[in-house]
Amino acid sequence: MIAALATIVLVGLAVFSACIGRFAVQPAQVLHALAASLGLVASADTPQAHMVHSVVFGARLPRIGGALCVGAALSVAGAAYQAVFRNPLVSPGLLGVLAGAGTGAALGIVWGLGPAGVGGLSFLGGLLAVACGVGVAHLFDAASMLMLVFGGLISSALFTALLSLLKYVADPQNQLPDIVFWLLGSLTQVTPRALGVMVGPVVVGIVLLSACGRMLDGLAMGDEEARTLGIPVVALRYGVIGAATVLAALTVSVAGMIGWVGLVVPHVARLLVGPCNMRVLPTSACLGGMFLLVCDDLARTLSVEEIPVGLIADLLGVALFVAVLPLLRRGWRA
Amino acid sequence: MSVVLCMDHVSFSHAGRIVLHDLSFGIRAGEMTALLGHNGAGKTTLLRLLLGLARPGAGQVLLEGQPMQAWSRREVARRIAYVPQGHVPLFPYSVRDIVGMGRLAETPFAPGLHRHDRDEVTHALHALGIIHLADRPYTELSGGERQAALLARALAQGARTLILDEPETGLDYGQKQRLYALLQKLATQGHAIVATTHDPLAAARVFDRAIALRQGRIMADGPAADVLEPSMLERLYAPRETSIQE
Repeated sequence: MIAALATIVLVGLAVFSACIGRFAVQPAQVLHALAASLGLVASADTPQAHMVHSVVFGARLPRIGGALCVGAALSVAGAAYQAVFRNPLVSPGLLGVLAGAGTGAALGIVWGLGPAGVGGLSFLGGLLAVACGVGVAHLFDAASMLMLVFGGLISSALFTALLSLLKYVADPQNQLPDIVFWLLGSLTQVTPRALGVMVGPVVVGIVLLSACGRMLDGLAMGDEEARTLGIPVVALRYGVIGAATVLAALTVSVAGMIGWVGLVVPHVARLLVGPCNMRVLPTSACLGGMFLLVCDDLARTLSVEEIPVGLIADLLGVALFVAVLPLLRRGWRA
Repeated sequence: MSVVLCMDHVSFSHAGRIVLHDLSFGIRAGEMTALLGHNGAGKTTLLRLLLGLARPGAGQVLLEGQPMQAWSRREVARRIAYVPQGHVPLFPYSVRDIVGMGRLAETPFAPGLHRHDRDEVTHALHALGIIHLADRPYTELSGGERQAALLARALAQGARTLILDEPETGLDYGQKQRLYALLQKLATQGHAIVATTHDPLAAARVFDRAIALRQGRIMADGPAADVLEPSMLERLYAPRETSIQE
């Protein structure tokens, strides 16, 4: 019932998003083009129809798909991190994945790589940063959550410093603006190919994390109690951190730094469906996708020049967080 | 009565200090065992060893005759349930959710509980008389209600051995009597019950057996009424040798 409702809203929002923009398209035209591409109806052979086809399939749908994937991945990663660290103030950036991915991207730009190279380096940078954070924790006490948080702090600081260094050495005429623009977050680079690479891992990640939802609930009772309930705590923690990290790093490699979504959306999800993670995780994914799609629509249409979507997402995210904060306080232990 | 859980010459040290020294005893099905001792005597460490949460420095803990580390966490959870002192998670899970966590060892992955699991949860809620609390947030319960929810979770877990950490803490007189009655009923049904307690008088009345722990050693182990007689209690809770002599 709820899933059906969410699907309808999601499809409606996607069709609406495909219609708006500099070249206005009617919803009927979008649906017709979609049906034609699926072979359900004959495609009209007019210049107008070709134009609609190229705008919808060439530009807007990949971008809509990108927004849904990135928003869903960040939100589900944020919800998973919050469950693993038993802390509602945790964002996917906690263990350094965003700083690392940003550094990787900046390195790619400074080396003059193409979009695929920059994306790839960014993804690797994100994984490397989290590996550093976890490695630091392992030097002292691998089982301790506090050590993981410290490891993440150290790793974030390190990679933020490296990012600053790269900005400092980058060519201020060509490379520095590119780095800054990348860090602001944008969905303009999402190609059908990039989307194709991303969809699979994002869907698998969301399903895997959601499947662990009940065990993550058990983790909320504390590590030792969770173990007596039969949960392999350390394996679960690292497995979930690994999956959430891959998701978060993927988003940066495709769309730059859009982090805040991952902190805010899980709270809204919890307000809607309660604290159980098997519902919170998929709901977060769904809401996160819609949220970023709306942000991207605004980014495309608010002004003649495109506004970086990361900026809009941050501003809207802040407004949303302030709006739901009074409701959240009631749900948490005072 | 068969031995389900057994300490075999177990020692445990932490940060260079010996916490437990050469303990040997067996926990039997159908028996209620009270664990007593002064604060710092090693009761909590002993519980952690029995639950397989800590590894002994020497000797071994045997669950159904097999070394504890040979069992997976899930297999241990099917055999031993833990009732901790009630604490509160950050998120407002309902009582039914909390009790449902007792089924994690059987059904760890979402989408959710099977019908059989849900029946076990409902059954446990009825057994504790808290079915009316099922949809209340666990975070809003009183201490006694929380204790009941955790006990219901242990029942839902389906384990034959229950390990309780000071279960009477925060309960009023009536709640304590009901708790003891329930534990006695479970013992007659064949459960092995182990509980730490700070109430030797109640323990002497209710429990079958008492193990008295002093400075990491077993001082006495026998029928509760015999072990917990006044002269023994005086020695058990006497100021320690390390304290200032008068």
